[in-house]
Amino acid sequence: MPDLSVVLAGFLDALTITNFLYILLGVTLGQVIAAIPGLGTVMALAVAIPFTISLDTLTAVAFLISISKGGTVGGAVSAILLNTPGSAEAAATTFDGHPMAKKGQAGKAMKYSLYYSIFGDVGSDIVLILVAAPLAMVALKMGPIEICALMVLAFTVISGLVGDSLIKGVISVGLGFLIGAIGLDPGYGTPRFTFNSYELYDGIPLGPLALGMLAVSVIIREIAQMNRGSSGGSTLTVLQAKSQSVTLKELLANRVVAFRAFVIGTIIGAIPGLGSSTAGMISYSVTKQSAKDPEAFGTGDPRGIAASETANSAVVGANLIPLLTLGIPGNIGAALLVGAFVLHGVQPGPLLFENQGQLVYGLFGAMLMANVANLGVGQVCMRLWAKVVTAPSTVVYPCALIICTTGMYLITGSPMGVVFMVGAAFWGYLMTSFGYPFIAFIVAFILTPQLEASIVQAVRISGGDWTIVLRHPIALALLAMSGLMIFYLLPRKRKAEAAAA
Amino acid sequence: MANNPPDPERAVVLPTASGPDRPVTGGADEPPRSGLITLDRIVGVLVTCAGIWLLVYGIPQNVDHQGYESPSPRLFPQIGAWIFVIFGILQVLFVRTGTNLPALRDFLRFLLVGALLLGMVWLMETFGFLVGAMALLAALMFVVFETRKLWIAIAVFAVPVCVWVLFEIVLQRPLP
Repeated sequence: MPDLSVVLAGFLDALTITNFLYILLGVTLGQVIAAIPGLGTVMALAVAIPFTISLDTLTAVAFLISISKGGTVGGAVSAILLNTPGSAEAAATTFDGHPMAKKGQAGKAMKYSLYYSIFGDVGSDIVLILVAAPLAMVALKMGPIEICALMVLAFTVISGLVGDSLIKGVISVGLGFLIGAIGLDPGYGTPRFTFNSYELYDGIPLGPLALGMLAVSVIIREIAQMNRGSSGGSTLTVLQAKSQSVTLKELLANRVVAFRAFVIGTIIGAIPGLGSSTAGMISYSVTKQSAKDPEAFGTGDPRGIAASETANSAVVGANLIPLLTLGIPGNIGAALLVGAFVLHGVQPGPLLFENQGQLVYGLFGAMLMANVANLGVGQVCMRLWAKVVTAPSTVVYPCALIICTTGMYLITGSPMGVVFMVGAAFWGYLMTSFGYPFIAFIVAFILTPQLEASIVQAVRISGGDWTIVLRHPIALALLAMSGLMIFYLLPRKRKAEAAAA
Repeated sequence: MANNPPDPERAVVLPTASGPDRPVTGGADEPPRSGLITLDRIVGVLVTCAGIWLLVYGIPQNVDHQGYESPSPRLFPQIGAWIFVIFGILQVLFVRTGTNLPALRDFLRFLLVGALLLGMVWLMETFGFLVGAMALLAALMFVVFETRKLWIAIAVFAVPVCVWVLFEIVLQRPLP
């Protein structure tokens, strides 16, 4: 069990005015940026990371996680008002949210989305708080051989779940191994692919790579696709209704749907490789299929909003389970968070609970505060965000680009950071164009040093005897699960490829 | 704007820029599907060749190996290279296609924006942040075909000044 004094000290660390103000700012930024179609939570995170360099670690991470939480609420605004999800995770919210808006109940739909989002968020945070520490203790008991096997399982799941093709997913992982291996090797300090450049001795920096591939490539791609006269304005005409408030009775009427969506979101969030959009879609489908009147879905049924919003928000907390306990980032947002952690000298993984338990519990406290802030800001500002969704993308994207570039220049302290970032953006663009999932590449890149260090330890313990794996039943079980996952995922991937073709 | 909600079971590609699944293009000059399959096969061959090149030349030339190390520092690059070889061949044999090539115009515009970013860094280093940022944003306003004077003024003048104030004064992080 974690030391209670550490838990309390952590929670007290979170309870400062500074932290609360940054959390408030974070959820506000998350909501407003995610409300703008095409930007989304990842973009909000990418833009915010440079601003955290002067903050202390807890404030910085709390700020970023608040943005994630705000993003799940804000994404629903444009999904409901414009039938275009502001962020990918709100895609399923359009199915019933927009029809409600067209009936003149836009305010009601946004309130439903806000309340169910907060419910999913709080629930998954509680699961995270209860599960993370015991899981990290189990992870700490695992030796390097088990960790190697766990990494193999993580790579299998991520390669199999991300993108349309398992083969391309594995190739992306292979590329991640290669790029992640640049620098000094962990066993003997031998330089690898450094080309006599001392800047490469520490390997390719994660920050420019993650920001370039995950955010800048998307921004430049959007700019590149713009045509003359594409700035446009809002086409929204929402009729006014007499009452836009939601009663507790109306909320509780969908409690079964919301609870099921929370379970789905939490489970999906804890699995690396899946994300909020998948959770929202699956939850919506399950709810529709299990309803007595499935034909009501798509016509403005609040159950649709409950299913989508609760599930996609439940992913945010659950996503931190593999990240904080095993150091495995589950999706793009988590990968960016790893970048932010590393920027502040914190290495996510099981040792985080042992070495910096106070920070982790401070983070948990901040997450709970962020839920309160999210609810308050959503209540007050949802109507305001409805105006923000009309901001022209011709101005928003270039401004986001300038912030990312300036931030990267400051983070790395030299123009080389921007050069790396632009190079990574180009590489991400190529990978996406050719159907290679870059999230698999990023995860492999992040995990390679950890996996390599585990292999070095395992080989030294075993004296080079690879059959030592046979004497470690947990490692064997994890490897067997990897094998089973391949057999499970391969036929599905082939179906997906056939559908894509 | 679609009036009818799409079927969630069939909705795979999301209409947003934040995910990796977003289709990259869909221009009139997009090659036909069979061409993309051929292209996928060509890429598979290139991936395989890259793997072989790494195994035969790239890794031995760039990673020293004395012989006593266990595991060898070449182990991980070699795993990556072998993945390229094996799965590159599998891609040639089995992959249908997930390729979604951008139109040539979009690709060239992507390169242009990348070059502008690098140019901005040079301008920043030479003439200071404000000059570099304003020049970049002015150039980007042309690239995105923005013609509304108020928005141009906000983007070109107000945003760089706000960013400068935020980093330089509020966050105390000196900009060039």
